[in-house]
Amino acid sequence: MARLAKWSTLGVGLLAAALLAGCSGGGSDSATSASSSAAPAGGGEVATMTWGVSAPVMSMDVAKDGLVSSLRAQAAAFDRVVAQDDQGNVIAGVTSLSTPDPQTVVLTLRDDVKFWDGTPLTAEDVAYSINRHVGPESTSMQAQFFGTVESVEVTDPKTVTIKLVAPDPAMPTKLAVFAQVRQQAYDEAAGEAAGGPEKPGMGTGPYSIASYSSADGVVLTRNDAYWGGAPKAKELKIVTIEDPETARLAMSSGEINGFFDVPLIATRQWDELENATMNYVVGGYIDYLVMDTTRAPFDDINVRTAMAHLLDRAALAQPLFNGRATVATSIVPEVQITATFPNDAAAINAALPAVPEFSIDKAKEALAKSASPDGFTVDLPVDTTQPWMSPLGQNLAEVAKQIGVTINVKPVSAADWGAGLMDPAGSPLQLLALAGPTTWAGELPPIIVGEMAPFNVAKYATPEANELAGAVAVATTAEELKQPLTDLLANVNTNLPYVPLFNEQVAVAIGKDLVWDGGYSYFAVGQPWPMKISGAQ
Amino acid sequence: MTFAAYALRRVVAIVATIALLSLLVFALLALTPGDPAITLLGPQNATPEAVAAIRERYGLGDPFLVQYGNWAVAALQGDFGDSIRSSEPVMSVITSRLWTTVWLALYAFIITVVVAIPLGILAAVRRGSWIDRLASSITLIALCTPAFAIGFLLIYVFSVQLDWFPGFGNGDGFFDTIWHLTLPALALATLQIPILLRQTRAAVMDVVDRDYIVFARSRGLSRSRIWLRYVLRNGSLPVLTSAGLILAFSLAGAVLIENVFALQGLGSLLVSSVGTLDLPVVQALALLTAILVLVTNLVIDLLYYALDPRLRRAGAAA
Repeated sequence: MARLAKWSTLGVGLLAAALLAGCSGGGSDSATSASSSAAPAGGGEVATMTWGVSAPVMSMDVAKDGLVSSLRAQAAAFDRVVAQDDQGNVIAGVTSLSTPDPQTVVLTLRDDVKFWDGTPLTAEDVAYSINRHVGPESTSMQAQFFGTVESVEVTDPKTVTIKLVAPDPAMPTKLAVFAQVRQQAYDEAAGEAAGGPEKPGMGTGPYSIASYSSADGVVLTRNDAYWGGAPKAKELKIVTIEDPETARLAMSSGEINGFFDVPLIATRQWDELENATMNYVVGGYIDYLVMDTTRAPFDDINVRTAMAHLLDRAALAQPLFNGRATVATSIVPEVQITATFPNDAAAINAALPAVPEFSIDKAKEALAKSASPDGFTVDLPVDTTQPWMSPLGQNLAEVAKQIGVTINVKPVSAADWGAGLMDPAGSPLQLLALAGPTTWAGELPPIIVGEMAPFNVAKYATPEANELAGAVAVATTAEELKQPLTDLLANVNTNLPYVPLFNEQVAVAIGKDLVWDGGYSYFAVGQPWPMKISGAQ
Repeated sequence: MTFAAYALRRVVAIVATIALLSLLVFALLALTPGDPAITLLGPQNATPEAVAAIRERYGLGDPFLVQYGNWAVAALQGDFGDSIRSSEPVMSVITSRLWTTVWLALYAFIITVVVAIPLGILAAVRRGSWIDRLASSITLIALCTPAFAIGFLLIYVFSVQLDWFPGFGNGDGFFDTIWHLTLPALALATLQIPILLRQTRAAVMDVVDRDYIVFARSRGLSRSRIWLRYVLRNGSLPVLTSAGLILAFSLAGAVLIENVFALQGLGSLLVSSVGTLDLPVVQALALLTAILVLVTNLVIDLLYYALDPRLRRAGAAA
């Protein structure tokens, strides 16, 4: 979660939000606290449901705060223009989506959607909800996701047409995660206050906002006229609990009914909770060691190879993530490879050159061939809010000493870590955590590889990589994507601007006396997740 | 010097100090690496147009002295600008968290004073007794125990096991707030009690050994008169200083306690604002913290003046 938050803050994109661990609600019939508790109200209904998130909700407007905790709170109140199912497929929501050609997206409104104040949703509102993220002058935190949008126009009272400057297969998913449906008139009247405690917004979602502040959290009231049917919980509270142990104790005492983003490092203690079920889902989270290929000593492939040999990824996965992570074989999250190429995923992975194995002897050999045979000294900033970074950095630093490389691990704040990634004066050695909310395997590579990549931390832009990344970016079908993507992943595994580290899971705690239909999904972040809770068991 | 003149002189000194501090805070934050506009937008969003819009909105492109001048003039009117992170007015952001911190600080302070001062006096009076040794042992254990450990222990016992108090959150309304803040206040007081207890014990022990106490006894003054007029009054001065500093520290935000009990107070706000380079909030909080400490010191100084006749005589002579 912290990671997602970071991404959004950084604009790193990655649709991060979508991935995070989910929501939950666990009704606690023994809860007695006034501040929480899901008390069954009979008939499968829940009177009050309290969910914990790991960071304060700083705004109810996605344009001002796209951190994952905020996305979860926002999604309970605001629909997106289209929806996403549990498998990540885009489905009809307040509009249905069609793509008459690769550069056109048409949204057709439902007839029965109304805002909480009873006014009907209009095509102008839908267009406004997208347009606010579009254009170089947009200060929306989500503008990065809408860079391929050329125009958004109301083409008739029930239709909105989006024209793209280039094919963007991920655009439907971006609309499903970030295009929060807000009433234009309300926002224009609210001005700068939109999204804040006084004017949080007017939406069409399953809950209306009774009160909101970044300090006290969000209290939501059921929208009985919701177009998708009324949710089962009459009242929903979203509270911030930043310390995971406090959250665990609150879960144990029944004060909260669910917690979205359990740190993987702490899951062993959470697994022992008697009144909650831990849900682990494979998500789009992936971690890398990044080396700036334009700066010494990492402009030397032998140095990069030596660094890759120093990482014992298989041994580190257990202590860093309680075993809730797998070793990454490429720079694309495994879940995306599998989803995009259900029949060819194994073959694609098998065709890739293996990431260098852990071997100090081979690291020494590689370094000896480099322009820095006697070693070097480099800083490694680690984000203190991402629990795996610091121990991995310390491990790498200890091992690196054996080949004469001194790595100074520098704990920094999330903001400093994020700012340093693209800073020319930052360290040429970085740890990076990304995520993609879509199932499209071509999503991340064009963001981090090639001269057109907006988040190319490694500055990796050889002619071959540029060409392959370009081909990946414009591919609109799995068939078109397969070959250039395979070639690009092989290229990266060979040249090692990014050393793939881990595919992380997402952990969500859900109270045992609530029912989450179908189990928690990685793709629930931007969706009206309270609708998935069917009531007390 | 009259009391009014003494107070006026101290107030003027505080105003000057606050003005200087505000300049220092503003300068230090201006020198902080990183561009808030880019932090807010993210590297991918940071088009020149978007960055310019953000910098224009928050006046980040103006010369330093112009920025400071604009900020100081607005701050004098209670306007610290808008939070870069949430777009809310800074005062609104702070106000929404202020009362949590104030209630917590006062609650913990009351517990601290009620427990530490009587126990400290008792330990001094019964020096070497089992009470003294018990107080010293408790003090030592509390001083050595990390704040988060005390917090989690209290939550586990009184929330999870006994279900007497909530384990997190602020509460709504007076009684609910008191109910919610009981465990955090106990945790915070546990950290503060050893300091005040030891200070009280030392101060009282120092006074009871003075010649004027022996002389008072030899004059046949009653025990209660000796204790109230001589021992406690003279011993109260260093205790007052410690108590004031403890209160000021708590009002500035007990970060660890707020974190453990998921309280959205000033401490957690400062930490998150620093992490996200939310300069308007950090500037306001830094200044507010300085004002709280200075005002607390002012109150202590004035109480000193009221309690210590030597200061009054020195003032009159001047």
